[in-house]
Amino acid sequence: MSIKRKKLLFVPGFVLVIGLLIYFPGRKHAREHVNLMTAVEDHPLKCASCHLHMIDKGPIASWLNADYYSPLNMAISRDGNTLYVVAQDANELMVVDALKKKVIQHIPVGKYPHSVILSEDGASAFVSNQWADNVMIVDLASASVTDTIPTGNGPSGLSLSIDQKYLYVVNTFSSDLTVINLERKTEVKRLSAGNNPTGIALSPNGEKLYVSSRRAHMVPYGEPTITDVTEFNTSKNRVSATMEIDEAYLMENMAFTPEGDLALISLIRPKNLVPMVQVERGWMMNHGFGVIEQTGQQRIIQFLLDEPNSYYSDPFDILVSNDGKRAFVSSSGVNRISVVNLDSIRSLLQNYPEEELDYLAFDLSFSRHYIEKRIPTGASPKGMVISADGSRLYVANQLDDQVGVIDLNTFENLDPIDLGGPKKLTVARKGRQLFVNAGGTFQNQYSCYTCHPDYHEDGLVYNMAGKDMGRNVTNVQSLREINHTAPFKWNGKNESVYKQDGMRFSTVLTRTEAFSFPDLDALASFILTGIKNPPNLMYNPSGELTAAQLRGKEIFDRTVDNYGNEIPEKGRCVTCHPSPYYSNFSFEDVGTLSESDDTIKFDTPHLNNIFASAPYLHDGRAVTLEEIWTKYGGRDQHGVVNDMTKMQLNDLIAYLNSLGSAELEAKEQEVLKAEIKN
Amino acid sequence: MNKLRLVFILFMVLAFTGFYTSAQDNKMMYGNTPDSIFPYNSFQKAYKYHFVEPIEFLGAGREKKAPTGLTEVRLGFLGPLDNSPIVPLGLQMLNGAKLALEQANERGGYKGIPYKLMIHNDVGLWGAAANEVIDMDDEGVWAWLGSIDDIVSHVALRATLKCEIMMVCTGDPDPTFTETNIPWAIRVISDDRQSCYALANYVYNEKGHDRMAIIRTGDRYGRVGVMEFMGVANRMGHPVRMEERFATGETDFTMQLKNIKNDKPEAIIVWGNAKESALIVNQIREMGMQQPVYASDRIISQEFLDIAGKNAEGIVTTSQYDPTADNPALKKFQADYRKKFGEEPNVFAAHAFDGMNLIIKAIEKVGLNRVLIRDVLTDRSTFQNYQGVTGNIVLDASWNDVGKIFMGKVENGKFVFFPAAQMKERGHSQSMAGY
Amino acid sequence: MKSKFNLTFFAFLTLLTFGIVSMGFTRSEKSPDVKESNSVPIYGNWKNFTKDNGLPGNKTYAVRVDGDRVLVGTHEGLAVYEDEKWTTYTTENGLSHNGVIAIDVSELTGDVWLGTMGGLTRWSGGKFEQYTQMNSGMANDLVYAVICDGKDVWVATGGGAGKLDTYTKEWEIFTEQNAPMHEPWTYSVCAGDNKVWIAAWGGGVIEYNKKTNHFRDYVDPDGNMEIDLFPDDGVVHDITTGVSYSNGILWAATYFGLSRYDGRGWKGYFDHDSGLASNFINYVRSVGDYAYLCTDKGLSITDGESWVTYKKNENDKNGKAIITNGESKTEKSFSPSISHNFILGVDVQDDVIWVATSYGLSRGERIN
Repeated sequence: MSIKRKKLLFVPGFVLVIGLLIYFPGRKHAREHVNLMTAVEDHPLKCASCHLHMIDKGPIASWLNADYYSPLNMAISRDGNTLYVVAQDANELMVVDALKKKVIQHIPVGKYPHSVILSEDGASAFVSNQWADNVMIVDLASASVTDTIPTGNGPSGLSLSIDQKYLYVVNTFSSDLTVINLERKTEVKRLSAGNNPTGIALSPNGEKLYVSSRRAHMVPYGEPTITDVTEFNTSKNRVSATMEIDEAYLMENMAFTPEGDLALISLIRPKNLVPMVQVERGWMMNHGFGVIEQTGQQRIIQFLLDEPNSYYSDPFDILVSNDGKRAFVSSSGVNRISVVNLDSIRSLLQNYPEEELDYLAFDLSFSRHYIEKRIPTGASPKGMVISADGSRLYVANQLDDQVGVIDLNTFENLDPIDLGGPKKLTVARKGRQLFVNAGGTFQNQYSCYTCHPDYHEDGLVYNMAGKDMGRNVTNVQSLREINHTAPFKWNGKNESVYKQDGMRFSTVLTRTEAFSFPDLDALASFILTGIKNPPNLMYNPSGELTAAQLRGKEIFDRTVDNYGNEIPEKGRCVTCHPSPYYSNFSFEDVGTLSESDDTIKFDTPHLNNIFASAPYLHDGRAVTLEEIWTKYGGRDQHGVVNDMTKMQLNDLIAYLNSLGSAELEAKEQEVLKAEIKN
Repeated sequence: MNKLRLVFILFMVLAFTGFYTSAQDNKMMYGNTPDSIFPYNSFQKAYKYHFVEPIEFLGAGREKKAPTGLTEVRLGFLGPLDNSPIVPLGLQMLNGAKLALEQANERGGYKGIPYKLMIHNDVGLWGAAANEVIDMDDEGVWAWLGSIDDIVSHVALRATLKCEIMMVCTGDPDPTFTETNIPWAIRVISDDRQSCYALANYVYNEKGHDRMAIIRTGDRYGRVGVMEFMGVANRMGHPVRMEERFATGETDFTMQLKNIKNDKPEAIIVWGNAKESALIVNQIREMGMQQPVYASDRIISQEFLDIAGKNAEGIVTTSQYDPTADNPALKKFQADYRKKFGEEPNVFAAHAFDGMNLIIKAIEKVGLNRVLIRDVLTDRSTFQNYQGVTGNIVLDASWNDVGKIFMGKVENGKFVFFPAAQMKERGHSQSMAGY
Repeated sequence: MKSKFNLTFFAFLTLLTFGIVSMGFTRSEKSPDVKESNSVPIYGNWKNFTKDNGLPGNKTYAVRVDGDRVLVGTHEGLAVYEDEKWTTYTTENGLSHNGVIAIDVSELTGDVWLGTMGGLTRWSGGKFEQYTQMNSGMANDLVYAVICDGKDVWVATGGGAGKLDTYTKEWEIFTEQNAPMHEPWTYSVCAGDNKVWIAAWGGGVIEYNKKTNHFRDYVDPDGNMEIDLFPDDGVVHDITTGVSYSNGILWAATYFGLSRYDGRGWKGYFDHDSGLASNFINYVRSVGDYAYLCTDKGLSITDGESWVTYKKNENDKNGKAIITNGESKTEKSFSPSISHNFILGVDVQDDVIWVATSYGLSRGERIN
C-alpha cells in the first residue's frame, strides 16, 4: 500500500473516528436535551423541530413563512355579484367577482382589518382597522380610501344607523362603542359596551342596537360566568339596557331575524369551575347560540349546537336567512356550518315552559329538534354573507384563503372562490390550523383557540391541573409573543411549548391522542412565531412616554424608597422584570400563593402589553393592575410599594400600561402614529 | 381757606375710611386670644368673626328611636396602630380608651349591655381615615374617639360630618381642627394655639428672648404648630428669623443645624416627634451650641429622655395637662393603667380615658341616638368644666379645649411640671373695635 | 406759605392715597356685574316624599333630574322616581356603597355617575360598574362630589380630586403634590368654559385650566380661619364646601358664608347682610343665572342681588318663602312647605325643583 493510499484511507478513517467520538456522546447529550425539553423519550431528535421552525425573524423566518390573506369578514353587494372580503393578514379589502369567482381588486386598508359593511347605496364600504384604531371609508367606484376616522381601541364590528347618518363601531380592546357622525366624519361619542365586545346587530326597525361581549365579568373563582349584551337606543345614541347572559361568553356575533322577532347570538358555555380533566366526561365546553325574544316576555334562552359525542366548537358568525326561517352558525373549531331551523326554535319558545327552556342549554340531545344540517367548510370558517336573492351563502374560510360557496336550496357546497393566497402550507400555517381546530380534543369539545381567542386569553380562571375541585386554579395566559419567554406555565414547569403541548397536555387537557411530532412541530412553530402583540395604541401610541409614564418608569427602576431607605434588590420591580420582556425568566414567591395551591414559586411573567391581560396574578384574583398592590401587595412581598402615595402608584401603573411589544421597534411606532393621524 | 381745607380733609377721611357694622357685637374673642396678638387687631376690625358662638346642628335624627335587641353598644376608635411612626402614641391612646370602656362595662355597661370598642387603624396614606369612618357608620357605632395625626383627624372629621357620628378628638392638637364649623366634633385636649401662646409668653415675656430659630418636622404637625407660634411671635414683636425642616425618620441634622448655628439665635425651638427631637438636641450640643432649647410637647416621653440623656437637662416644653398633679382621679387612673398595661400612661392615654368617659356619660344621659349624643356633648353646660384625670375640661365656642396649659422642664432626668403663666391680657376685651 | 401749602397738599395726597387703598378693601355696595333682577324663581305646590311614601330612607343627600326620572341619593341606596313609582338600588344591585352622596348624569352618554361613601359607581344601561381606590387610580373611596365634563368624569374625594378619562380609562389625581392645595381634602368640583374648579377643604378654590393644564388657587387673603377681614377681597373662607359654575359666574359655598366670582372680583354674602338663610352652606348648585344654596336653615335662591329663602315652620308642615330685594322683605306662606330645613341637595329642570333634605325629599313647582 502506497503512502499516498494510506493517507487517503487515514483521512476518512480519522473523520469516522472523530465522528463516532462526537456522535455517541453527542446523541446521548441531544437525547437528554430533547427529553428534557419535550418530556417524552421517543422524539425523533429532529433538530429542526425547535431550532428551525421556531425562528421568528430574519431571512430564515421569511423563507419558512408565506404571506397569506386570512379572510375574516365579508360584505356583499345588493345585486349579489360582488363580495368585499377583509383579508386580515394582508391588510387589504379584496373585491371579488362572485359570479366569476375571481379577485378583481386589492384595496390596501389599515393594519389588521376586522370588518366591512356597505352603505345602503352600495357606493361606499366601511372597514374597521383593529390594529390602527380607525375606520376607513372606501369609495368603491374608485377603489380608494377617502376618509380615515379615529375610533376607540381595537375597532371590530360595524353597523350603520337606519338613516345612514351614524356609523357604529365596536371597540373590542377598549370595550366601548364609537358613534361616528358621517356628515361630520368624526366620532361624536363613545358609549360603554360590556367587556371585549365584537358583535353588533341593528334591529330591522333601526331603533335598537345590540353589541355582544366576548369576555365575561371578572369574578372570583367559584362564581358563574356572566357576559353582557349591551343594548343601545339609536334615537338618543345612548346605552338603554344591559342584558346579562348567564354561564356564557365569547359571544362573537349577533343577528336579527328580518321580521325582528328574535335576536340571535353565537356563544360558548364554559364549565371552568370543574377540573378540566372532566373533558372526558363530556363536560368542559358547550357551544351554542342565544335567542333574545323581542316580543312578549323578552326572554333570553340558550340553545346548544352540540350533540352527544360531537361538539361544534367555536361558533363565530351567526346569520339569518332572508326569509327568516333559518339561522346559520359557522363553527371555526370543526369546519362546519350548522343550519338551525328557526321555526322549530319559535315553536319551542312558544310551547315550552320557562324552566324547561332554561334546561335546554344543558341537554346535548336536544339539538336534533332544530339542527337541520351540518355543512362542511374549509379551514376555520369565520364571517358569512347571504346573497340578496337568498340563494347563496358565502363563508370566509380563514385558513384556506378561500371563500366557500353554499347553495342554500340544497345546503350543498359549490366550488369555493380561491383568493389566490400562497399554495404552500407552511409549518406555522399548519400549526395555526391545528390551533383553531378542535379535532385534537375529546369529541371536539374545544380547540386551543377556545380558551385563547385571538391567540390571546379568554380572561377566565380554570381548575387546570388538579383533579380536585378548586385546587391549583389558574388564569389563562396570553400566547402573544411568548417566544423567548421560557419557561412556561404559571409554575414555570415547562421548559418549552413543545413540552407544554405534548403528551402531558393530552393526558390532562384534551384526553385524546397526543399530537403527532410533525403536528407538534407545527403547533409550537405557530405559537412561537405567528402570534403578535397588537400595537399598544391605547397607552403608548407614539413610543414616547407621557410625563406620568416617565415618573412611573422612575418608580419601576427605583432603588430607594420614599424615606430614602435602600430597597433590597428583590423588592425592586426591575430586578425580576427587566426589559425587553420585563421578566428574568425565573421564579419568585410574591406572597400570593393560595392554600389551595401546590407549594411552589411563581414563574415571573413577562409584562409586554400587560394592560390587555386582565385579570392578573396566577389565579386572576387581581381584577386590575392596581389590585396587585392595593389588595394583594401584602407586606411588600411583590415589590416594595407600601411607602408609595396613590399618585405614585398611579404613575407606576401608567408606566406598566405603556409597555408594548418587545418586538415593536421605533420605526413601526412612527408608522402607526402616522396612521392614527391620517 | 384753612378751614375749608380741614373740612375737605375730614370729608375725605370719612369718605374713604370704610368700616362696617359687625353683626357680632359684644361677644368673647375666639381662642382666649389677647387683643394684642389677635390677627389684624392693631389696625383693622374684621368684617366677620367666626367661632364666637357655637353653631347648632339643625338636621334631623333626634326623632330616631334606639334600636331594640342590641347585644353590644359599639363605640369607635381611630388611631395610628400600624405602619406609622406614631404607633406608640396610638397604642397609648387605645389603651386609655379601652380602660375607660372596661371600667364602664364593669359598672354594667349601658343598661346591662356591654360596650364594645370597634378599633380602626388610621394609616395616613390615601385618605384611609375617611374610609374607616364610613366603616364605623356601617358598623353602627354611636360615637367614636380619635385621632392624633392631624391629616387623619381632618379627613375623618369631614367623613363623620357626612355620616353624622359624634367624634371626640383626644390627641390632635392642630388648631385648625376645630376651626371648621363642623358641629360633630369636640376636642378634649388643648391645641397648639394654646400651647404656643404659653410657650411664646414663656420665651419672650418671661425669658426675654428675642431672636429665636426653629427646627421642625416637614409634616403638617410641624407646619401648623410652628405657623401658630410664628403668628404669635410676629404679633408680639419678635418675628422668628429662621425656620429649618426635617423629615420624620431623619437622623442627621447637621445641615439644618449649621444654618442655625451661623445665625446665632438666642434660643432654639425644636418641633417634632420625641425621637428626632432628642437626636437634634444631642447634635445641637455636639456642635457646640449652648443656647436654651425649647420643644413641642411630643418630647414628653421616656424615649426622649433616654436618647437625649444629659442633653435633655433644662429643656422646656408645654404640656396639655400635669401628669404629676395631686388629683385622686388621675392617680387612680395611673395606677389602673400601670396595673393593666405595665407602663406609665402618657398624655394620649390620659386624654383618651377622659374622652371615652365623656362619650359613655353622654350615652348614659341621653341614650342611643347619635344626634342626642352630639347635642349633650356640645351643649357646653352638661360637661363644661368636667373634672377628668387630665384636669378641668373647658370647651370654647368651637368645642376646643381651652383648659390650662402646663410647662414641663427636664430636671435631673425627669420632667417637672408647673402651670404656664397667664398672659397679662386674657381673653379679648369687649372694647376692641368690632366687638 | 409755600411750605404750608406743600404740607397741606402732602397731607391731602396721603389721605387720597389712603382712601384709594381703603377702597380696595372697602366693601362696594353693589357689584358692577350683578344683574338687576326681580325674577328669582319662586316655587310652591310642594309635595314631599319620605320613607312612608317610597323612599328607602329619610336622609337624602343628593338629587338629580334625569329626563323623566329623578335620581335621589340616600343613606340607604339610590332611589329612582319614575312613573310615580320609587325603585331602590343598593350594593346588592352593584352600587359601591349604599350611602349615595353625589349624582351627575353625563349629557354625552346618558350614563349616571354616583359618588358614594365607598367608591364611584357608573350606572349605564342598568349595569353598575365600580371604581374604588383599590381597583382603580381613584384617590379615595369617599366621593363627595362627581361631575361629568364631556368624556371626563371629575370627582372630589377624601384623598384628592380626580379625573377619569372614560376613553382611556385612566385616572389623573390632584393632591397637594401637584396642585396648589395644602392637603388633599376636596369637597366639590365643577366645570365650565374650559376650566375646572375644586373646593379644597382649607385650601379655598382651586382653578384648573384645561387648556394650559395649570392650576391657581383662590384663598381668603386675610390668612386666618377665625375672621373674614374683608368680605369682597376673595373667597370668604378657606374651608369651601361647594362650587358651581354657570353663565360665567362661579359660586363658592362655605360653612362661613357664600362667595361669588365673576372672573374679575369676588363678592361675599352672609346671613346678616343678605337674604341668605344661613352661613352654613352644605351644597350649591347654579343653573343659569341663579344659585341654589342648601343651608342648615333652609333653601336660598339668588341671582346675587335678590333672594328667595324657603323655610319650614318648626312645629308644623307649613312654611314660607322670604323674598328679599335690597331692604325690602316680603313673605309668602305655603302649606305644606319643604320637607325639612336642613338641605343637602337640589336640582331644577324647567319649572320644577327637587330638594334633598335631612328628612325627606321635596318637589316644588315654579309659581312666578
